[in-house]
Amino acid sequence: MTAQREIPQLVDNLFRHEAGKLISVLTKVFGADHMELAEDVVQEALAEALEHWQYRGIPERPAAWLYRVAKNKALNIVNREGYHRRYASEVAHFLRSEPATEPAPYPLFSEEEIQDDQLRMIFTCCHPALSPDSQIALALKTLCGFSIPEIAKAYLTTEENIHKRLVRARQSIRDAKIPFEVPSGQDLEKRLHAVMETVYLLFNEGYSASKGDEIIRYELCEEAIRLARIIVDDKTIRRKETVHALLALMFINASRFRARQDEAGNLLTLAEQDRSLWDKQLLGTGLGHLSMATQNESISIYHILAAISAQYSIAPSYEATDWQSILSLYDSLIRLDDSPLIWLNRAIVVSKVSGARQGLAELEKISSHPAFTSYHLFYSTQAEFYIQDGDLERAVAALETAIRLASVPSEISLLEKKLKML
Amino acid sequence: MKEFLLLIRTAGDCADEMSPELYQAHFKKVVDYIDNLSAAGNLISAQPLAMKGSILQGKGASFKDGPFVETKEVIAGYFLLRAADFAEARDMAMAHPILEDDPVARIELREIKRESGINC
Repeated sequence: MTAQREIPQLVDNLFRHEAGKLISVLTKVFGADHMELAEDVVQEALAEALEHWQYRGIPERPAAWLYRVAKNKALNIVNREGYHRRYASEVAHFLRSEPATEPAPYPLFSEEEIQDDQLRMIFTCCHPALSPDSQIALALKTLCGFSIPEIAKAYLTTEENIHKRLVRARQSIRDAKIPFEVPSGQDLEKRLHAVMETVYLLFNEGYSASKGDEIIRYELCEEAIRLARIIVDDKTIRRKETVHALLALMFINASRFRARQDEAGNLLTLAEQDRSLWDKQLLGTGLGHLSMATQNESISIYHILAAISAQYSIAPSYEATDWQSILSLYDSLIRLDDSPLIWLNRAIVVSKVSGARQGLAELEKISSHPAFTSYHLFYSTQAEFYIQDGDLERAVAALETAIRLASVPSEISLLEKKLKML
Repeated sequence: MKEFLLLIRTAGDCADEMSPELYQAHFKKVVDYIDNLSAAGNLISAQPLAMKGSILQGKGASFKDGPFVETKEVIAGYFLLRAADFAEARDMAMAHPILEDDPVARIELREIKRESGINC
């Protein structure tokens, strides 16, 4: 087990991100189909670092130390038998062309190259040939330096499950012969879209869950933001309004992260949150990205979602929220994404603008949608509107349906509490 | 000032015995420990030792290759320290976090012997 021992989790984030950088650089050297080799080399280098640093202390430039050791290990491995001779000689040539002595800068390991390699890694991990679950697991493992136990903890699943996902992901990369590069031309826009979907999925994985380790959940949000920033900092990708919009959305939502739950771990609605807990600095960064995102007329789902989130955040109080503006944002959103969940959320906004009865009428319009027949939130929303409208009999019926359909214990107890109060 | 050799004796790689969380905490403590020794001018040098090695005995003897599991103990590394006397060196040894975090680890402390007549 020693070689496979998970080292990155042993030392904090800096270490973790160094691991991600190193794996990206070495994957370029070895090729995307040998990604696991890069992971192993970095793992070994980190293990060696821990061993040495327990006697020598942490060196002045730990990153340079790690790079040097990882490079030497890489050379040793490709020189060992088992690798195709020509492949090995190409890789060795690549590594040897680097100056071997410090403090000469390594072109292969320059900040700029590392940044580019991480971007290549993002596009490789978020390739549509991989399932979304595999994409996220692989990105967390290779780019973010998460260990398998940490990923399992974040996903509330077993280590074996994550291991299988990673194996499948690497296999898909080999099968689809995915190159280690940033796509160009027309491909770029499509692939960038896929990358953003995965990044947003990763963010929501951390943001929306109501159970599990809070610290690791917040780290998932931070990692999603970090990956999006790597894209936004790149100089070769020119059209980045949508990435700015996604960053705006993530920053603005992250600014409310600490206020989302009460001390017992129950999720709080926007109306219930303590606004003094909102992080103004994150909100400010988010609003900054939002203005970068709206510098030309391009518009995406992220633009609208960010604008809605911003409306909530800049309102002086929940009651003073500009519901009319939010409603027109929802109308734009539906033109881009005509999904039942967005209609449901829009109905809530309608009730704020025009009253509960109007909200009920909106729900009526979408009630036959198959997505809602087993969705508890549809019925709890309906119950809320009935309560506001004074129709308690129907409210009770709707709440009972919602309780029957709900599965998360904290949500069930919240609904039951509401029912008792009627 | 006198010099002392501090040998860290463990049962294999202590990282295998500790949980990742404990090992991370341990690592941080050891780094602090070294920083303190260094800052106080007590640390001359320190190195980890490879787990593999040989023990030789007698002329032309056959090598006995390690790791030497039958002794259940390996020297994981050493510190060469500078201290006024044995008591001070012992205090430094006793402050090593491994004594707290790895119950089977032992530290051997030996003074480096000088030739008589050298003043220090």
